[in-house]
Amino acid sequence: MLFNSIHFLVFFLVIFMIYWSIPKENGRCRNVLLLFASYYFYAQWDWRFCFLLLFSTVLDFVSGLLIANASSKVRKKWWLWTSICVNVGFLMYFKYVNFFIDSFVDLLTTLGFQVHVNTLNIVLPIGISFYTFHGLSYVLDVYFGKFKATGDFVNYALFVCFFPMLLAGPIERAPHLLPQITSTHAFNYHKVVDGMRQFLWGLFKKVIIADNCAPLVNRIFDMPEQQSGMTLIYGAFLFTFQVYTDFSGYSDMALGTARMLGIELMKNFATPFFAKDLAEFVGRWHISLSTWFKYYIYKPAIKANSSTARKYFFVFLIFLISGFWHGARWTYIFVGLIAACFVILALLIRGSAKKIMARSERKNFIPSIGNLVAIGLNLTAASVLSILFRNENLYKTGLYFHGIFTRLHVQWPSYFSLPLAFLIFFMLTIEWFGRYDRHILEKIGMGWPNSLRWGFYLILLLLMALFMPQEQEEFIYFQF
Amino acid sequence: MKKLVFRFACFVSLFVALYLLSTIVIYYSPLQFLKTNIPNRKYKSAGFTARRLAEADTTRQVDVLILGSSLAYRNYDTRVFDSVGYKVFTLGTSSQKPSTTYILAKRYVNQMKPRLVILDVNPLLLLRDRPIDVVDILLNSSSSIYDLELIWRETSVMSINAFLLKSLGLTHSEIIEKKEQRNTINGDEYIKGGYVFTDTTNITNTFGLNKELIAQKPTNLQMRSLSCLIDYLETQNINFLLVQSPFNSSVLDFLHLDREKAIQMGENYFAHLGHYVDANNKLDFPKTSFRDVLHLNGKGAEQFSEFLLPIVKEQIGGE
Repeated sequence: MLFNSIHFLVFFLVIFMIYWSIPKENGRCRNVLLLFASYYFYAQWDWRFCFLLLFSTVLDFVSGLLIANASSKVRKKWWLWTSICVNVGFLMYFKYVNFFIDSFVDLLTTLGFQVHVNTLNIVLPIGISFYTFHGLSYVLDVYFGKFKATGDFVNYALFVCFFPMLLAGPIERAPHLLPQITSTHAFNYHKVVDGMRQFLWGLFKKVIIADNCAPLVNRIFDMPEQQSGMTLIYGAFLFTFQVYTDFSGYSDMALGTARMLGIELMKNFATPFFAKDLAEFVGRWHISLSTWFKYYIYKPAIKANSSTARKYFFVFLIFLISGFWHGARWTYIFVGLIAACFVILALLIRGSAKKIMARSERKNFIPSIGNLVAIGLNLTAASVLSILFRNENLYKTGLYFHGIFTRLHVQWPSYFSLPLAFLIFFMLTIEWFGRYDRHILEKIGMGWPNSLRWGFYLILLLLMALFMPQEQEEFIYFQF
Repeated sequence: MKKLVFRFACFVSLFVALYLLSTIVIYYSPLQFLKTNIPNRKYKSAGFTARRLAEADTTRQVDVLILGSSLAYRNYDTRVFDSVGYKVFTLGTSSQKPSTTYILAKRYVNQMKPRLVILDVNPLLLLRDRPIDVVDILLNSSSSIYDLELIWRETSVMSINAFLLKSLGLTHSEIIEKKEQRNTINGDEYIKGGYVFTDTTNITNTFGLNKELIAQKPTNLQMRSLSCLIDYLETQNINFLLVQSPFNSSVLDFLHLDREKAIQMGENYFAHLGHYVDANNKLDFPKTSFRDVLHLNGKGAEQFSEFLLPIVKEQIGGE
């Protein structure tokens, strides 16, 4: 059930109506409803994996209680590591076991041994990386005393599997989300409408930009050896826009959906293309994942008196893990490493970049030269990473880069689409105007007369109806 | 809440009115770049869909029902089966995907009560979710509850628009095939039982296939639908065969695919689903047996149907 499907529209309308018709004093009934809805939503992908989700939820719930009630530090540690090992073990099995087998066989082959090992036929449970991290964050927060273990299983289970964030995040932390689930929510007209606006913008980005980019990107990346250098460069930029609008579109829809139910999820994207340097660009992309790593790896490891070398080492480590988190591919690991290099480089030269930053702080209506240079650099860096991110192995990545450098002539790229270029420009323009707000459409149109504002929303919807591609694409981040 | 419901209802009504109006205006306008999701006003089915569906509506009790894409209605000569006493109906539309085949099976299997269902399968039809087959069916069939199921499963704006235009009665008079009621169009002849006969050979048309297609993976929707289709036939206790029709060496050359690899691909996708017959293991037709790069002509279809006859007899028992 995709957010951009009729099925979801019907599903959500039903849940929304029932949810708000339950009196707010009956918060528990509402949470039970959301819990069932979340499991139903998940079962639409593969009902068998509901049991895995349930097992993971029970494990972390019980671990949390055992850690909280443990009589000694050793016991606390023991329960913490049990939870970590089982959670990570599941993740390793479903996501990485074939990668390790393949890599081991490759290594032995390189050393001259002939080995034939069959990989396992494993189906990756959708959203496993996301809900595993939800569970782990809870157990870690309880262990470090930052959050009191909950004794309410329904609330905890809903924290893990709340349907807007279940499949592709944002990755929530218990101190932010669980108290919201526990508390009662009064119906707030403005909040609901605001949620609708955020959903609308996410939907626009997904169905208009991401899904229209997808077929062109597929054609370019599937056969890079047959494309010209200009086409390959165009393909890399196009994929950058696709992955951004796909994932940030999903996040906007998730946040909008949750807000309509009175729950605020964590912001996941903050117009990264308009960042002032690469370090900030990375920090504005998939914020919930970088926050997770910051809280649970970087902060515990780095003290106030830690050396710069140690800090950079941990930045490197986090990006390495972050790359690997995306999936069992060497290309993802390289994406992590190169992103780390970009960030460290940006941090080292930040002194000179500060001037640009200071200029960009102004809420200018039209982008300055400094802004345009920064946007160009961000886009170029992101497109280099996109080539690695999109190709399934290093060989194909090599072919892609080889094509760029050996077949680069001044010529118009193949598959260029003028309407799509216009739509991307339109999307970036709107995002520019909404870049300082909580979400893009939060304030745009708020001062306008009702008819004009409604007209703007109707135009967005009609553009979607007119230019939505005939084939729907699943969200890219569902595979992680 | 009341304010929200009222304003939301107003907004949705306004949108629906505007949407309908713009759909109709664009439908009648010459602005092609706005018609990505709006059916062509001069819509004409490629394979007698209106005729076939009209005949399907009145057909009862068949021995063999053949489901699939245009390969189903061009490659299986119903007259060959007819000559040995089997009543056969080929129910296919151009580019018909498993998701559409599943709905058609639900619509017609109970009515036709076949003793055997042949599912004409092809890996290329698993790679895309394009709604052209759904639009073809919606525009060429009598209205039924299954129209809604087609739209529900497809969820493409193009299908919704086709349904709306059909419901508003704006498409019916435009269907040339229905209006003219001819048995022969552009060298294709409609034969009773859904078969489309052609005796020409022209292998230059590549049907918009692109070389990159072969690098793509099957879509989740099509793989799920194929499983649902098999489950449905099994729960109805209907015997079924999965058959891959002969492929033209021209299409393999075009896709840079060797024959063994193509056969292996079919095995990987379909062999585990049930009794799978790949005609390419036994037959290797010359290019003169093909109508185009994908479909057999009359001569090829006759030979292929004769090849299948003993297998069909074995499945349902010969009289």
